[in-house]
Amino acid sequence: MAIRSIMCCCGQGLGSSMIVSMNVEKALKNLGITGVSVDHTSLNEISPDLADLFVVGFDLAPQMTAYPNKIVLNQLMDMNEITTKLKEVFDKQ
Amino acid sequence: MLSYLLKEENCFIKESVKDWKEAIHVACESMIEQGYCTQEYEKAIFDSTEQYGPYYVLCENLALIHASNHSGVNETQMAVTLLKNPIKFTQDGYDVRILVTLVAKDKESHMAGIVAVSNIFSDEKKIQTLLDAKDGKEIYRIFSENS
Repeated sequence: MAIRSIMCCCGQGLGSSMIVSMNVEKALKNLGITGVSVDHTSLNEISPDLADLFVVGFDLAPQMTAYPNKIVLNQLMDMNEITTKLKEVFDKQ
Repeated sequence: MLSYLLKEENCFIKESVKDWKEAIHVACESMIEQGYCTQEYEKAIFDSTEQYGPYYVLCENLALIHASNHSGVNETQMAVTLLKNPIKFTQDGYDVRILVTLVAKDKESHMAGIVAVSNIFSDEKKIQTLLDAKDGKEIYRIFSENS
């Protein structure tokens, strides 16, 4: 399935998820990927059908077992990690 | 525009704090005094920290101290406190010297502030300039230039 939407999630949906969503947008631009919407929210506001791909920090990964399509970040602020992991996912499409 | 989100007088330099609880208290003080949030907001940060751990420590040197917008939030605003001596929020966690306090009324109104945080903390040189800041004016300038 083509990825058309990415949802970045954190506990409160205000801080780290917003930073991660900006970094995802930058990374997509760097990779030349267009036509993907990027948003951010809190963990208790998501459901698996809300987006094609979810991005979370490693500390929240245990709460995301019901989400097969996800990227788990070890370093929230690391552009290299998010770019590499997005490339892997989009290369498989 | 960052100016409606962060004020120069809310950029502080402090020698040290004795523990992570004092760090949170110091970070919230100006926001509570100026009515951007209430004591409830500070309490919500402590409660969330007990429940989830220090989720706001995002990388080395940076704590983006905040809770949800559900309790004690009046207006969106930020404050920045630079600690001369680092503090740890957990024993094996990062050393933190920059406390960015975030009071967010909704999901989007603090965007300019997060842009600045993201721009500064993706650049080692900018992080170092911020760590070397001599006064609140300099901290404010760095955030302004990066928003």
